[in-house]
Amino acid sequence: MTIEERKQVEELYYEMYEKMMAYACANLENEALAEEAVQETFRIACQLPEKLRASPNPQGWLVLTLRNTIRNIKSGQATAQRVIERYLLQHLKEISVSQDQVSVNVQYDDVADTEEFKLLVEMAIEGRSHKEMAAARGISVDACKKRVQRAKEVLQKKISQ
Amino acid sequence: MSDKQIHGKSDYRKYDAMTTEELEEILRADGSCTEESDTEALLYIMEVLAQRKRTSVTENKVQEAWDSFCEDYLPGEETVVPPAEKNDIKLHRPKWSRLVALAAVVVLVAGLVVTAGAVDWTNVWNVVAKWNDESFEWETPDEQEPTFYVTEEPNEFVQLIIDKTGRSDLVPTKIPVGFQLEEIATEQVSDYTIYMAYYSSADRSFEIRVQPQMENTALSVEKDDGPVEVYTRNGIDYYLMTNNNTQTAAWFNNYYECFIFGDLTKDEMKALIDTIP
Repeated sequence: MTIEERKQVEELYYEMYEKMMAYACANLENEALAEEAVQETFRIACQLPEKLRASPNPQGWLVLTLRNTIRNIKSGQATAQRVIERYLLQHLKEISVSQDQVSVNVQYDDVADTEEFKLLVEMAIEGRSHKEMAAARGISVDACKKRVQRAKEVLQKKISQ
Repeated sequence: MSDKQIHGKSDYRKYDAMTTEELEEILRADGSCTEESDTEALLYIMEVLAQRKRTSVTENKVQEAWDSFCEDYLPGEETVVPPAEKNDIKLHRPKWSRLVALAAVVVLVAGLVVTAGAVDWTNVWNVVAKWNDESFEWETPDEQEPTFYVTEEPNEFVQLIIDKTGRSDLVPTKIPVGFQLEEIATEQVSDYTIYMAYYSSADRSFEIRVQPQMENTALSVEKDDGPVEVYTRNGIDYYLMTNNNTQTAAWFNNYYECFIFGDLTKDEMKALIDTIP
């Protein structure tokens, strides 16, 4: 990324952040996830500066990229939910869900009590952003993303065994 | 806002009279639709909503969000700031300076590769920059293992596909160095079996999926607005596309729909495809 490209992204960030938050909040109904969607969108813009620069409507490009990013976040949550559901159905002995709060009381087995399971529950059921989960663990956002990916894989593996 | 014309084309003032809930509903509808968006109308609505929520507190939040973006979402590591650029970099945004310097180094490496002649994937990364806070140097092939080529290790997934489908021409026979097979999974959809393999390295992962062509089910691949490249190999068209920062390859080979998607570069994807018999 050149100095000019960086400057363009920074200017667009200050111009578009609040507007994009409005779009993301409407679609995700969760401010932390909305912020993550906007940040991810600008991260993609930094990875593809030539596309942003070549676009006749950079603001429109950002909106469409944000829309895709939001879909990916929802898709990631849905996948994680499916993994958790399949895992719970297969492994857990007792589940009770209270009316106003999702609380899973289980007779934990070896995986349900692991960091991987907790990460997926936080992401897919509690709707926490990677940034929130990373802050709680004192790790970077990037490291948290990798842990979530790893968590999905570990549980998938357990399910298929 | 009421007097504002968007690019002199359309009058979006009707949105000014709508409630916040109504405007948010429009944005939600756009988020879930697959048709092309009227981005000008969306931008107008987003501006209306942003203005309604704007306070001195929210203005500070933009600055905080930018700082967080630089700190949390663009972590630049292991790089040096060229002396000529040091004066241009604001101290509270150090990660950008690292990114710019890293980009310069990447360009330099790419230049070396290009001037070195034809690209050979086993040798592309043999000349690698290495640096710390105080020094910078090139590593030569004798000092550095290549970071990408396809391994000769036997691949369980290939064998599974051969056993279950009788086909040896559906999936890559080799995987990039550093990756290992994490899991093989199958999923039953009606009478069809879908075969999936998950590979991962220390910081990346990708998946290969093979599924029979299903009746009444159209092939659908999630992608962003980037172009689709057709890469033809052994008479098969491989459709390469991106979905944000991940790569996807999709192809059809005599009754089977196949996919590879994950944290790969396009060149790595092509190298993988090249190992499909």
